[in-house]
Amino acid sequence: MTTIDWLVLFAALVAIVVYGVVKTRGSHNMETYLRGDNTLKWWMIGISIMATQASAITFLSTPGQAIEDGMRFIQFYFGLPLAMIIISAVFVPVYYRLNVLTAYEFLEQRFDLKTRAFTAILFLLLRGLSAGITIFAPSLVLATVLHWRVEVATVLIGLLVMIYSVSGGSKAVSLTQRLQLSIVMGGMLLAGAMAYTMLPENLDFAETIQLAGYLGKLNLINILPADAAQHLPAGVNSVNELSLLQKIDLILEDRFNIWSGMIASVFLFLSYFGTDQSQVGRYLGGRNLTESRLGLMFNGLLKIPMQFVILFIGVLVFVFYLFNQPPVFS
Amino acid sequence: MLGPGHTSPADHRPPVFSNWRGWYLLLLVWLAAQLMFYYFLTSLFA
Repeated sequence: MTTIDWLVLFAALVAIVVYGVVKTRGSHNMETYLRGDNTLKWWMIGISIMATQASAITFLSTPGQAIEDGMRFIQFYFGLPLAMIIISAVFVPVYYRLNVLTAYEFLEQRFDLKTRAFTAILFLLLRGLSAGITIFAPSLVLATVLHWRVEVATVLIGLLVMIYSVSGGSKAVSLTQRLQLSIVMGGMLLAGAMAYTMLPENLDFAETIQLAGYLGKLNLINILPADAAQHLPAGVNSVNELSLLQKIDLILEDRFNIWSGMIASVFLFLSYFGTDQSQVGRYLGGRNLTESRLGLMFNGLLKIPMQFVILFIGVLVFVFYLFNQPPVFS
Repeated sequence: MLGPGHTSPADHRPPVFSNWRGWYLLLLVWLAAQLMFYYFLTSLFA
């Protein structure tokens, strides 16, 4: 790390924290703290929704997923537009009509306080565990680059995020996430461009794609598992001889395929975007019902292409390291 | 809830933005187009 690297790193960290605290100064009541000041337009909501879901793990691990397993991870997101439609049509109007601050307040009105308390505790537990992993991933990178202990990096990142989250509430989180998303996306695109431009000069874009494709990285759609031919049941000689039940068996044992994407992911994204307060709080901060629903449509339109770009950058990095020595950190 | 023109009182946008059936159809068509493109890419190297 040179002096400029240190300056940029710490200036960025300090700027994000200061930005979040300063922009949300002023008195807060519970409503503005949990829901923001209800001024967010649809594109702010959409970006905030995408930024909330796209943690550091998205930008660190997703390219790694493409390097390791190809681009088939994109199938995981095929259920997202369907979930956006259901949430926009069913969930959001109910939240607005009841004027709730949190998704769990709805449960109190629908059932009782015990139900609300139980689900709120579950959310805090699960989101806390998830946040721990989310902070751990960039801490590993930071600790490796700066030669720090990973525990120190984890505590530092957690403390910095807590400063503006606690002081500014929902609005501070929305504002800083937009800033962070633009920085991280810009960095990713730069990394992808660098990986491509540093490839051998006699390798053009089409050949790069062909190389990645023939090495099994452009496996975007799997109707049956790619390795189904290696896991045939006894008495079956080829994939074409499989019965429907045998095919379903193979599909259920496979992690990413079009069926898990179009069926299971719908329910997963319904639960995440429809009931997890980290997402519900984002779109309940909209100016009105229309802005919130448009924000969800925005997310539904852009999320899959965004994941495609991130995975494709991983593929470019994969091809890059076919011609260069990968870094090995102790 | 699925009908067009379902807006809140403070909504000043033209009604076309609140044509939710249109938006849902757009999302489905866009998803279908992406699936076809990704299937095409996959089939090139299958």
